[in-house]
Amino acid sequence: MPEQLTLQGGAITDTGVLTGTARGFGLTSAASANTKGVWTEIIASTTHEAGWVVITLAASTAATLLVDIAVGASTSEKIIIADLYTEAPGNVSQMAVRSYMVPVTIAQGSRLAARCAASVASGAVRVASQLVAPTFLTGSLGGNVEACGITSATTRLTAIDPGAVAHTDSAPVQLIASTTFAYTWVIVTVGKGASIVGGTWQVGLVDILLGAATAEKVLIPDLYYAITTAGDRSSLVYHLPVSVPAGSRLSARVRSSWTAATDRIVDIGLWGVG
Amino acid sequence: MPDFPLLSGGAVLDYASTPATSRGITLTAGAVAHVEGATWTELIASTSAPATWMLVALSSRAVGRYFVDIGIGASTAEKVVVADLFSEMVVSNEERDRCYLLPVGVPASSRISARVQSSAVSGPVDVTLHLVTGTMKYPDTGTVVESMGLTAATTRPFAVDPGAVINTWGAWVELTASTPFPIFWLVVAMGHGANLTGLSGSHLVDIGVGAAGSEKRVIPNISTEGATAVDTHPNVPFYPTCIPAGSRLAVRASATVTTATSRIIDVCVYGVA
Repeated sequence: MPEQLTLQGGAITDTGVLTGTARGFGLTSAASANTKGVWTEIIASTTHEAGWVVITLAASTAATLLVDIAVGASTSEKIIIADLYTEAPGNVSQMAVRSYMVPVTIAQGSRLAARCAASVASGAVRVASQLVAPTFLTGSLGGNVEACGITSATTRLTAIDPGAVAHTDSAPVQLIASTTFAYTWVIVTVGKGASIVGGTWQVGLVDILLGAATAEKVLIPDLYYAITTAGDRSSLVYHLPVSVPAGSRLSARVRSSWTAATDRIVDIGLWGVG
Repeated sequence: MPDFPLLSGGAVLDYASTPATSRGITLTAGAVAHVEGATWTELIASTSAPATWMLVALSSRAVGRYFVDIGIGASTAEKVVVADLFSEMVVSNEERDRCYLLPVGVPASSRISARVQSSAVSGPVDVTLHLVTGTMKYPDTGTVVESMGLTAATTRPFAVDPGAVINTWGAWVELTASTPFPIFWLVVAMGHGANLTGLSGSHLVDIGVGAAGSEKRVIPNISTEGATAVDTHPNVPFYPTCIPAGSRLAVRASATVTTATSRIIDVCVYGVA
């Protein structure tokens, strides 16, 4: 039973942590790779309305993984946050957690559940969640979340090749052709790409672009990532209160210090909240 | 209580990076360990408009711990607006970045700069900075950031020992005896602890408010997991909250790891008002 906290505003509860094991709930993907597993209940009934959801993912299988968060009764789950990304390299003990701070509204009394897909059969991930009561920031925030750049067939984000010339922007790669609604909060993360096992130490910069093909304009410039040789590529999750109009085409481009084929490729994903 | 309106989006107004090397702007710590670098490094010469959010990403480039100050003001007259943002590298070339999102107001035409101290002599750290503006509104009284739970003499956050019993809360460790102002945004950063080579395992971290022995959890069960040979806790969660001025803040942890030293996690927090 989660503990409700009652400071003036902004009460925070944990809804998805197994305190007996000092870690989050374990999810397992389907027996087929790249297929979502069954829903796992995180909490039967939330104790207060939430304006923010904090999701922390820790892969426990060497794989790429996508996690859905849903509300609703068992067998009637409705996804509110789709395809949050995490990964672990060949040595799972060298993975890093990713925390997503998502300003969405969840009604009091909601049942929360989660499921995952993995690039391998029966991939595993631990999910910890926290709910923050609506306060200054989130009084009337809508709460729609759109995942952009997801490649469900391979449980990856969108692969972008920075090219064979170091420190030079790649061509833009589309993440979404048309945003469904206006975003007021944008989340961006970087994945290890094709070379999830291994890879080479390198650094790079990601631009998020807005506009029609060949007419893109930089929306968010130079988000930094670092690739580790043995570990998770870049567990960093950027959160920015940036506006994106409905109907926008979003794309991304990358420049990197590394030029070796395959290893230089990174995956980019974006979640828009509005 | 700050007047904090609805969340609505803005645009990235100014930023600092080094595209020629696909990384941030490199800061170099002083020639003496645990001493701030003598000079500030300019990140942005003059901001183009008022900004309301500051996004700082740090990436350590040599093994060690780092505290980075962000300052505003003319050269030689810099004023620290965000002190001691924490970063670390535990194994050479196993570089991981930490990202701090702070609702810190920056006036137009501001010169932004940074400096660093490190446990590594002349240790380098890269910083990228994004300033976001738009329709967000902030308290009329301005925004300040209080850094808590850091030991400048050792360039290290406070050590939190979950104790020798697995999955059991350790003792509370005081982060500050009294918050100087009401905090509406709290950022929590974690580090590898005394054993920089680390040990794979999971931690839960509580942030509490209250007198010693009467702490009440305000941010419960922050989940993080350690890695064996790379930077272990790069995630930097942030929380909209409301902690009154004058509050005593403390932290405790539980862990799946019980080995002495390896089980220790470092924790610091940054409160914004």
